[in-house]
Amino acid sequence: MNLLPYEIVLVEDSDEDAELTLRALRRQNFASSVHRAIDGSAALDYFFEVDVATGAPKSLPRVVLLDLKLPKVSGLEVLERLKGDTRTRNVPVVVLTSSKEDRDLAEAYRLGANSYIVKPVEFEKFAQAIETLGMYWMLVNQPQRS
Amino acid sequence: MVGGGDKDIEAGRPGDRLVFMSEVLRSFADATTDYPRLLETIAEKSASFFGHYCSLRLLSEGGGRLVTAAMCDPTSAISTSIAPFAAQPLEVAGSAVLRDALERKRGVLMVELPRDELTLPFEPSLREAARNLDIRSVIVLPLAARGATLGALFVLQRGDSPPLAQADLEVGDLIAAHAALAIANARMMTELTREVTERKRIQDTLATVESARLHEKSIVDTISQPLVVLDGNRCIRDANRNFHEVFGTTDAEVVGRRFDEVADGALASPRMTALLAEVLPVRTGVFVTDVEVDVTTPHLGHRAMLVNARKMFRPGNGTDSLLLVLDDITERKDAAEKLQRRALLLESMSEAVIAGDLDFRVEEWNPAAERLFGWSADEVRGKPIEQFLDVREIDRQGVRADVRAGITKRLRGRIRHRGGHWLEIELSSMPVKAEGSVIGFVAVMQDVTARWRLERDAEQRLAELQAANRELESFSYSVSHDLRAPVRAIAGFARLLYEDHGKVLDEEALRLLAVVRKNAQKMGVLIDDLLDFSRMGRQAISLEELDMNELARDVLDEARLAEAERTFELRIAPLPSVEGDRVLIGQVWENLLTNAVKYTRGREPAVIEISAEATESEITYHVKDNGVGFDIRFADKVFKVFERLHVATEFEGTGVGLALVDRIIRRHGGRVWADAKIDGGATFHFSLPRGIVRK
Repeated sequence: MNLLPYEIVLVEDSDEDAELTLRALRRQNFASSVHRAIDGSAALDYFFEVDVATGAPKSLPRVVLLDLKLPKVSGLEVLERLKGDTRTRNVPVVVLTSSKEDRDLAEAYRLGANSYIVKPVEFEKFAQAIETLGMYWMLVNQPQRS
Repeated sequence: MVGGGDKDIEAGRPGDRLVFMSEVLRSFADATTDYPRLLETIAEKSASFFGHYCSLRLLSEGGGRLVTAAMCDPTSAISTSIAPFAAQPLEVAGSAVLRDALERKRGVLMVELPRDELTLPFEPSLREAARNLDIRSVIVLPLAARGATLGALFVLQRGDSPPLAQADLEVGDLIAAHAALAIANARMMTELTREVTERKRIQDTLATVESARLHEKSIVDTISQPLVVLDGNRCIRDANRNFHEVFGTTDAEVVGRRFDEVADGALASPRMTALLAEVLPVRTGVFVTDVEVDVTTPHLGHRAMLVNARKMFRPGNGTDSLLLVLDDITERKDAAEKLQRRALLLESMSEAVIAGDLDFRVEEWNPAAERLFGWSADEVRGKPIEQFLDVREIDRQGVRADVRAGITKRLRGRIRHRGGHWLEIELSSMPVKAEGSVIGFVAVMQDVTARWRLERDAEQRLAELQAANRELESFSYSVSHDLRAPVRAIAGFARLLYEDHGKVLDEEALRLLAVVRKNAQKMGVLIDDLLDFSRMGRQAISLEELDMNELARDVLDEARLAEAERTFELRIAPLPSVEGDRVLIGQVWENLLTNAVKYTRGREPAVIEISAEATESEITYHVKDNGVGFDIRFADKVFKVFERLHVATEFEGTGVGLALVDRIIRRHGGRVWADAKIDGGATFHFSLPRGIVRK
């Protein structure tokens, strides 16, 4: 089993949302194993950058928290790439977004999102949601490995 | 002397005379077939035999007179003087000698007699002439054969020539007998020949007539119309084959019968009878043309026929005949009526109908086409359509090739009116076929310009609406993302400030922080409600049968749970189910019932009544409470967005809930209204249509 430098990848362009998310995750002591990508392009670089030394792809996180509205490459595109590639297809992706729009929800599920969570305005609710999904994906759900 | 030789024979050698005699007789027999030559021969040979003038006289018809048929005078010197005498007929009754000789059929020799007596064979009127002829002796030889007296042969000896003797008489009788027989035979022959010829002629004539009749019959039979010949008594004299075919008759059944009796009286129509009554009495040849009569035949049924009649009148024998030619025009008449109906149809059609040949030359151009394009039929007939109409846009769609290929096509395109403006035309083009090949086209056209404009405008409006909708969507999408993110940041970081630094803040700072947090939260709720409300206008409604008891009960239970410390009195009547969108109608119940729970705060107990009643067309539901109510004058305002009748400190809310209820019910085709009184409670009513799918 690979030793994972990051258990969670958070794709989030908003510093505030990122900080709030990390704060919530910290409550569960997950903070040390979170990598943040600041946009879709950075996320793809992270996943598909080949290790120069070994020629092997990067090891994979336990779960990806993905915002949809991202600069450069949108969250849905990132989702499509991850779910369309055999190496990354089985990494659970949780869409974490402000959008309550049905079409975003439908499209995310169509592309293979494993969960879809609307970020509540209230921090308490937000923190609860993060904690719940963190618990779920980090502890309960045993990821499949390719 | 010519006759000298003969005299020598007679005088010299009686044996030679006998040979000559037989030659004479044979010459008679030889001449039998030629009657005039026979008569000449008899006179010539007798004259040369006797050496004297001989004349052959034959009895005239009736037997009273002897007329010279032939004569010969070997002593030609006197012939000139005897000719006038010979030309005179002799009256048998005028001479006893002649009469006696003819009766007894015996020759008479008169010789060595006084001159006067020698003229006795002649009638008295001729005796003077005879005396002048210097006759010295005479032999009269009657010509008789098979019991009949035919005439007489006269031998006259004149002047100084040797006189006739008894021997001459005896030989003369023999000659006369043979001559008479030859004449009789020749006459019989002639008669026979004449008779045979006549019979042959008659036969030939008959054959000609028959062949002509057959010929005529065959011509008449080939005439394709029924043809019949009537006589003056209206009886059928002849009928051709086609007549029999049409009327189902035979010659035997019709010839000789009255025309109105044949073929079960098929021809006995009043018009026909009138026609015959008009034509038959006319005593000249007369034509009657194209009289239409109704004819009913046993096997063809009712037919319309055109009659052409030719009256033939022969003044010679006074016979009438009437030739009737019948022409069955039933089909032509039907076709003509069809054509007329078709023409009427074309005229009355509101669609423009045009037709023409494969070069697209116009043959048909109905009044609707005249109205549509401004060209009259007379102006365009015979002209190729592109000469007067701009049909390029239609042509570009391959109409001509399709017509030639036998394909029916329906299309739309612009055609220019005579006045210059464009018409939007809907066109159906069809090939016209004859015996399997395409010979022309028919096009039916309709002006859809007005409809096209409406459609175009509607399309434009729809496009505008869609664009507006898209804008609205992207707007609310932006609101959803970009408005909520900073609010979340405010609320979140205010919370972090409180959590991390609450201990070092004084009471006033904490209060201010709480205001920030509360308003950030409120802002979040407002944004969410607003998004819900705007989404409602765009969201598709999916209808299903809804159990309203269950929906209302679930919502109410949850709303009461939120205020578990309070006492409620619930009166819920059975609610009829209705068609609606489960999520949206659930929202209606939630908004109305949470309102009822909210606005009955302070009532002990809070009374909430739910009821409904159904009519044929709709079901109306009521939610009544005993809460604070409101001023009925503001009843309309409660359903408007952000309109609130209570201050926020008293009852929390964003002013969106009832507006959302109003919008949902309207989208279901129903209505919402309210009754209320200040401090007297409020009742909200909403009705939904039954069994009608609404948008």
